[in-house]
Amino acid sequence: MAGSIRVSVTTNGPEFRVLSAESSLLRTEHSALRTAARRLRRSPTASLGLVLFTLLLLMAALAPIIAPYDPITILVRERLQPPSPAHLFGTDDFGRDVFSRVVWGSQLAVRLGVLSVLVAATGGVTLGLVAGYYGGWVDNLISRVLEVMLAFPGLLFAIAIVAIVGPGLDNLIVALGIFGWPGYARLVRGSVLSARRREYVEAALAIGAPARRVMLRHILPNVVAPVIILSATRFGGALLAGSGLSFIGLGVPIPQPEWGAIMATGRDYMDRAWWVTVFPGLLIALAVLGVNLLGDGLRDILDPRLRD
Amino acid sequence: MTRYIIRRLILAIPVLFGVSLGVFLMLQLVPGDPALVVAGDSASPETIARIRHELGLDQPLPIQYLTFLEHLLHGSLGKSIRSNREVMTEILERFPYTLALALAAVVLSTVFGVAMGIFAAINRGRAADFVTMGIAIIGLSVPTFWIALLLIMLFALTLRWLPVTGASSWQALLMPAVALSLHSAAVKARITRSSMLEVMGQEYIRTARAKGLRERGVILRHALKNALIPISTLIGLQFGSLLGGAFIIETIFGWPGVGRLAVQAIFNRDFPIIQGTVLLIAVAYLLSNLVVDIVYGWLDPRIRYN
Amino acid sequence: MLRVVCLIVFGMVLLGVVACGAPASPASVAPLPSVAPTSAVVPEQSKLGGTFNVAAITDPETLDLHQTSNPVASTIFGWIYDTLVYQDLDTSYKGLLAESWSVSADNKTLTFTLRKGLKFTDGSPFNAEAVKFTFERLKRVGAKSPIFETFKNVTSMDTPDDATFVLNMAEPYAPIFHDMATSYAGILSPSAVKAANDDIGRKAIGTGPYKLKEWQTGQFITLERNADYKQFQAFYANKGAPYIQELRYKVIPEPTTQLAALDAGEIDLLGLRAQDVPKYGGDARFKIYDSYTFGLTYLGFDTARKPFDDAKVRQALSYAVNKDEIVQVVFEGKLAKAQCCPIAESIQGYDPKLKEFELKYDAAKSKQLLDGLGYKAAANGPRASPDGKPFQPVLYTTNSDTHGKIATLLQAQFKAVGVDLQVKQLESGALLAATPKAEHDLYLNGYSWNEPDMFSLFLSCDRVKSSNRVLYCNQDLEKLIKAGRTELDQAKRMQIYVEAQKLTMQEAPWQPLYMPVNKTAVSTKIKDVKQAQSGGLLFHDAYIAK
Repeated sequence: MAGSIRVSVTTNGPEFRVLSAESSLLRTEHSALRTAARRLRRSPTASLGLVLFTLLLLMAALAPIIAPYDPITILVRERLQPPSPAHLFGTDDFGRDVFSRVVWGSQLAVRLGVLSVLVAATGGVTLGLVAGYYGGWVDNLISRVLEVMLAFPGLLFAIAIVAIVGPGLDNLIVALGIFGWPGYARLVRGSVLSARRREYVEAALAIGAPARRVMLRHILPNVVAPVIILSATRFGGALLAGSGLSFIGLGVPIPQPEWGAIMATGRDYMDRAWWVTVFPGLLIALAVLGVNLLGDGLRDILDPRLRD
Repeated sequence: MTRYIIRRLILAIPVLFGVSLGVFLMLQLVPGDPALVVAGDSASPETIARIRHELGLDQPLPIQYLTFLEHLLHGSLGKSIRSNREVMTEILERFPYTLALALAAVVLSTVFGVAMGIFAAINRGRAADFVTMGIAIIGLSVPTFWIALLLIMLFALTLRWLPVTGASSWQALLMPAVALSLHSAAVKARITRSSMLEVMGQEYIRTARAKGLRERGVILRHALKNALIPISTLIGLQFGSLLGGAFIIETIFGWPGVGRLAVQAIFNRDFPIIQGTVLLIAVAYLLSNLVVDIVYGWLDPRIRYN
Repeated sequence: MLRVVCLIVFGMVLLGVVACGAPASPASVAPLPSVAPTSAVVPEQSKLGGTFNVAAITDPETLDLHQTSNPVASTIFGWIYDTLVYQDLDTSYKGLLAESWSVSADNKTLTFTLRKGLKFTDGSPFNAEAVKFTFERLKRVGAKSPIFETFKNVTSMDTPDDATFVLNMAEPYAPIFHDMATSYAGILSPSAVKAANDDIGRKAIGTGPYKLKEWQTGQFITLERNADYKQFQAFYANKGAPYIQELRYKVIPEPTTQLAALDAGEIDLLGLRAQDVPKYGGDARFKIYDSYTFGLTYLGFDTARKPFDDAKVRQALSYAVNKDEIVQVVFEGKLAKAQCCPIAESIQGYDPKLKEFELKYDAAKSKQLLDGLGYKAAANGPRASPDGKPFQPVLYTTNSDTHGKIATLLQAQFKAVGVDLQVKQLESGALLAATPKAEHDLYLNGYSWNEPDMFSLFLSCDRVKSSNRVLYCNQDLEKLIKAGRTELDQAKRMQIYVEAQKLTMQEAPWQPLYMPVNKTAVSTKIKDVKQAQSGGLLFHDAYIAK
């Protein structure tokens, strides 16, 4: 939420000045990205964010290699063992290795974060582009629908969706994704409105370029930066919302090792087996911290108005 | 100004209409109709059918929706399926608590968030800035329910300063309000800092400084006033979502708020209550946005209403 | 949803307070003298007073006796309303508001003789007219009440005089006394109902030991001692009004918070979960009381769906279930007791002799039967159906923590015999909607019904489209269910249920798993708490130490 507000207040993103041909646009963008990457490395907090995020992705990708045990197979006689060399993070009430569950859980977290952001961004960006580009009644209609969505309490909406289609990661992704549309759409619509007035867009329109092409080639690149920044915030938000819903039993079905769900069962044993709640909680916090720091770094770099 | 407000209020009507229709259609998709849930685990098919008839659920959908609208025209949101009381009564009974919690959270988060933001901005680049913003970003990254559980363990069980339950004293309000405010305090701290930095770099602040105004005066009078613009937007948006989105905190602390009512109503399939709470939250959202826009104009005279 | 389970369990503990009562005192013995002011026992002044704080998971929503099945409401009804009869510790039924009764030769007419001189807490008299008024209201508006179905069988009610109430039924109905002893069958004050314009959701007035004092929605409900109360349950030493001045039900939805409230002394009683027992077992501030519940959790097979319409498949899978492991792991061996038979051992009709028909855990046998039925496994892989398609039965259950844990364990137990069990946890409303459509293969849930006639609710043909969640319909069982409902001779009736259980155990639409057991922590401030045989807590003699 926060990010979307911040960005929508500042409206337009970076300006990629295009001199003549499209090829030069691409080249400029390419070098701009390279400069951005260099700046990212120079900021210590942003680098920390990048490291944490990369670690999260690596953990998810390499889960089968990293995790010493199967995350689902239960071994009743090993239940609630404290952390030891054999079980780095101890075991849970079914004797499952918490470390392995947390590692495999990162796959669910990454899928939840990435896919819900994708659902939110694709839908929201499309709506925003269409509304901003065509204006008129199309804009009016889309804006009204978005207003209705914004006025709708989002978390209740997510609960209702889970009640309708049952618990599951995919349903959670859809629920959180749709709820994200208005944020993107508002952001993009604003950027499009300002981009439309730019010379190069007017030029492209004047030489009769088709609408879709103008939108994709000339306008979309303009909104990439704020969309990326918003996405970082939403990624973290999705992880927190997902764990919150799992906490009240509306998240990912058993026996999947979703972090919030591991915590929810662990809280029953907090006085005897702190490790079941502490480690997944720590992982949630670190993962969200990572994307937040990364988002901050990207904002500093991509939003020139905040640069020194 | 009055004309602007009236226009905005009129524009809100189609939005609310859309919300109510959206809720109504969504509820039709939810498996398990109210009769089934009310009748319980051991009811016979005949009894379920009878309850369905009593509740008017055997009517065609458009008729059901029109009945709802008709009630609405008479100023009623219908009766709760569970308690048989007016939905309005049920909501109004809980609304003061929700309002108290939301206000407390907004005040706490604004005071602490803005203070942290100013502190970080004037110490820009120094250790104090780094630590303050570090705390803020950690606050953003930790799940709220987790904080709530930790607060209970610390303040209610270990230190025994605050009660675990209840809702009739300011002490009881403290923990849920703090838990609820942490996240938005972090957001506000970050935004205050960046808006302040933005403003402090601008001509008129430099001018003010150059005129020899003392640092504190410069910050409070000029920079902060401008930095408050995004903060006020944020308060408006958060206020709307705090009203309906606080239910996890409300559940943990047993706070008798609207959010918990709404979630319980979803599980109970108490459709009139769901309609009512969602509409209330939508109204609150639209109103707080309107207030924000008015405050906006007051803070930033460049904005004109037309 | 663990919450709901706890809640039912918890509701029953306190129901025990009202529904249970005197130990074996023959019903024919002249009851206690009808109210004569001189015979009233004055409570010892020193015991009087105090507030007893209890946690409730939800608001009761409404306290309209006929419009809810909410377990918190049912507990509170038990304090506010008295019933005509109550169930004694030897499971027989005794008179509470009724002094005695007779049953007609054709078993269709019950004639109750009512106690004289009792008053509702609004001052109006208790009489036959009030009883008739109450049950007529139940028939008129009570579709949401759990005993609504029972009164469909009631054709007419007569009140020949103030102290005589006659109930005429269409056909003999054995569970009538059970149903009339539940708190839902309490007697309303007609004048109070009329004064409230029939809107008694917040104006509950009865003859019970407590009366409604204050209800702060979503926060607490306070009940206040009825100083004029006369106790007719012989078990109690205290024959007058309760000693404890106020009962306060505090709404605390979150189990972790409930525990914290118990720890902080904000509540005096809490039903513990298995994981909490070690912590509070040795805590001198609390005494832990064990009690049985009148219910059972079972694993059911959707008998309307292939291949579970075949009893052999159901039996083969039943052998794969290790109940003791469930009790050990999910309940730490403390909060559940494994059950052989469809009727839990706490409920009338249970017979230990039936154990020989139990499909006891035997993984080897399960594998062998599955092999024989053509469910063959590829090398190291899960078994496939005889037609070669993957065999992945789906288990539907609620989204409660407890059911989630049991399902997790069942998954592992099925895997051990090569069956790839899928689990779908649904929010309870969605689950209620899914089962009549036979979407599921297996079903995990429980019943809570202190009557062997639970068969007619959960395993009869009439209920295949509703509460029979395994869609089981067997004409032989159907005959037994009908016979059990109409047989008023206890011994004969119980024999019928032994037969019904035997049949069910062999046919295996259910694999009974366990009976929940309560461990209730009660503050040691509360003195003289008594326990019924089932363990249910009895508070009428209890007082709060100062």
